[in-house]
Amino acid sequence: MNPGAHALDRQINDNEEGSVSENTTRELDVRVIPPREKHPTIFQTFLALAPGESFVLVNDHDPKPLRYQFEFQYPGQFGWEYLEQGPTVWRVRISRQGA
Amino acid sequence: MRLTLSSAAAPDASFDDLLAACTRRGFAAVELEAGHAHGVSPSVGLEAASAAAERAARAGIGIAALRLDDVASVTDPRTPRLAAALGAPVVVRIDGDVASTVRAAAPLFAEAGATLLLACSGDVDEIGRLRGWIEAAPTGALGLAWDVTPGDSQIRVPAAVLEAAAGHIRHIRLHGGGPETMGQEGLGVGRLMSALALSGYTGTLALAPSDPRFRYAWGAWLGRRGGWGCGSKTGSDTVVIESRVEER
Repeated sequence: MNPGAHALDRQINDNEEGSVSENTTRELDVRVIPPREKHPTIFQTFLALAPGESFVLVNDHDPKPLRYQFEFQYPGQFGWEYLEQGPTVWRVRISRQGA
Repeated sequence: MRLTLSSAAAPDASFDDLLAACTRRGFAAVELEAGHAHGVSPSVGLEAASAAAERAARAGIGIAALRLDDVASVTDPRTPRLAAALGAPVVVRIDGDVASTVRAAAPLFAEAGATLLLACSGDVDEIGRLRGWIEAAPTGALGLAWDVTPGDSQIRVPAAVLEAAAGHIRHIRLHGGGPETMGQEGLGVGRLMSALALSGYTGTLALAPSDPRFRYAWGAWLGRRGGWGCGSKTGSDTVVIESRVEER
């Protein structure tokens, strides 16, 4: 098994910072994630980004409470751009700002 | 990534009712399992398959895959032609020694401009074996599908599975999600979704019940009320795709 793969698994597990392949559209669809795991998964994914990278969050409602949590925990360190706003699906590009 | 509804979640729903359920719940595509009431199967004529693909496109829903139980059917030349008419890959589960079957099917799929996806459980050794078949076949003829069961050992190391697959995974079936989401805490779904996002996975992720006993819950979640559709329709006319066996 590739050690790099283990590294990414650890990264997701341990909330470590790091980077993965570039030039791809990263989409995190949280509609299938159990409610209590949604925000931790989103933050772990965010922390795995390198500065300047982003992912698109997909949800079935407006993730406003998440934004408030980002503002509290990572002020000035994230970007938030709505790509689609309902009525069935919300898409938000969340980016990691440079240090 | 395109979130997809498997017909396994509503095996008694017609094709159009599946499309309507996708629209209601925000699914981008539908996975069709042969033998369900949508009526799409290897015995369907190419015109009917093309018409189904057009109806799906008009509804804004993609056809993610046609899933077959019978591995032997992939060497029937009608199967890759059907896949091409649907504009979707065929998925078969790889169990036992089917190397010769897959070897025979690959050129047929290549000739039809279609893809056969080999579904596995995510075991990295098995993926290594299947990668060998894929890379020896004509380009685009074969690919991988991953059947994921929350709580199993593979979902705990999703990045390792994706790394082993080297970009060949085009379709994932997740057993759960939908009305089962609440009960799948701690089973690795979050890790899987995060790994898929970080790897830039652009394929389909189909949700299917983890157990037939959840079908009632799935039906309710998808909007089934007595019957499918607006509620006034009975189940008697659910098969809407004309079944016609083509001449070889």
